[in-house]
Amino acid sequence: MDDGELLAAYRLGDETALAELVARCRRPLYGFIMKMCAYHEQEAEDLFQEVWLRALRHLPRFKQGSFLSWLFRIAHNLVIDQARRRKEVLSLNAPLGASGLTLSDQVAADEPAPDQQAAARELGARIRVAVAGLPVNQREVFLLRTEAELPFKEIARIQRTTLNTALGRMHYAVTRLRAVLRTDYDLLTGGTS
Amino acid sequence: MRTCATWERDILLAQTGELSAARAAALTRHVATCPACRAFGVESAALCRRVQAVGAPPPSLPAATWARLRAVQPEPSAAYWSGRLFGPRLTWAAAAALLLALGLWWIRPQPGVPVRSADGAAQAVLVLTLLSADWEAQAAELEATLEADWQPGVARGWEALDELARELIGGEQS
Ligand SMILES: [Zn+2]
Repeated sequence: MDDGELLAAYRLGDETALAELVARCRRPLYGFIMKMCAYHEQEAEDLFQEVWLRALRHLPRFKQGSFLSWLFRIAHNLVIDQARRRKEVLSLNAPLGASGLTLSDQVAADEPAPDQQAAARELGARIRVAVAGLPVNQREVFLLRTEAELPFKEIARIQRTTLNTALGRMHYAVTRLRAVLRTDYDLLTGGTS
Repeated sequence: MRTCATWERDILLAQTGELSAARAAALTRHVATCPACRAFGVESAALCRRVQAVGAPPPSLPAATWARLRAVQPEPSAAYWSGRLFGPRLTWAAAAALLLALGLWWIRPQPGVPVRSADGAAQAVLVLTLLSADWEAQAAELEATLEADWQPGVARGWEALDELARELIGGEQS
């Protein structure tokens, strides 16, 4: 079933259809929110819930098009406010949220395979810091592109800007990340995942 | 003569399938002779894949979240209320009147502030735009802004209108 059919089933009271929709959107939406929130897991989980609560309450207003894009339009408002409020700069060894875990701890927990090189883990951590260090608008375009895999036309619509501006922001983000990760190209392109 | 920076933007568009066939053909010819753009293509694609791979969410939704989602009662549909209160034609007329009032309020003269003609022109153009053939779409866009988050949405709605006005008069861009 596609998203539209699942939505129709949910509107008729089918909770399993809702569960399927939430599960289907979880990776891109949560990934986007978490990376916009500088990897604060609890904050990301709260915002993920808030996006869904608003989406379901206002479901009659969703008319047509991509449901995932609509979720990202809702997430945009919530996440941009949160990201602008957050002035702190992400660092590898600063504790994140109430857990007290650092980014380095999280990265180690994310990629537990003992045979994977420490270098790949460190690259993951450096990518996170580099992405979190992008200006909010650039970071959002970059993550809408990488996490949600949305086309630039849709990203521009979410940011209420022109396609050229959205594309320019992506270009700046990629250029900046390439510069920061200049020493990691071999690892990056060498199929480490 | 195009610079590599402009080709790089085309590479990003090609990665999402948004580049026209003619430009894609030109890009292919350029990339074949430009190692820098080839490297940009390979590395930007790898970067996107790698970023997606780090920080996957916990697979299952917290039980409390699921309980809240299941309990949601969707609001009655806009069509239901507009049909009930006014009928669709009258609702749109009311929306048009509201937009016009907002536009007039916005371009009202401010005591002690000299009138800046560029701002005035932009605002006038904006009001006309909102009432033009496309104004229903503009209104829907505004509504979408408001639906996601009321208070910040209002502020951002004004920002968006301001940006649109500046674009319309060919002024500065953020
Ligand atoms: Zn080139």
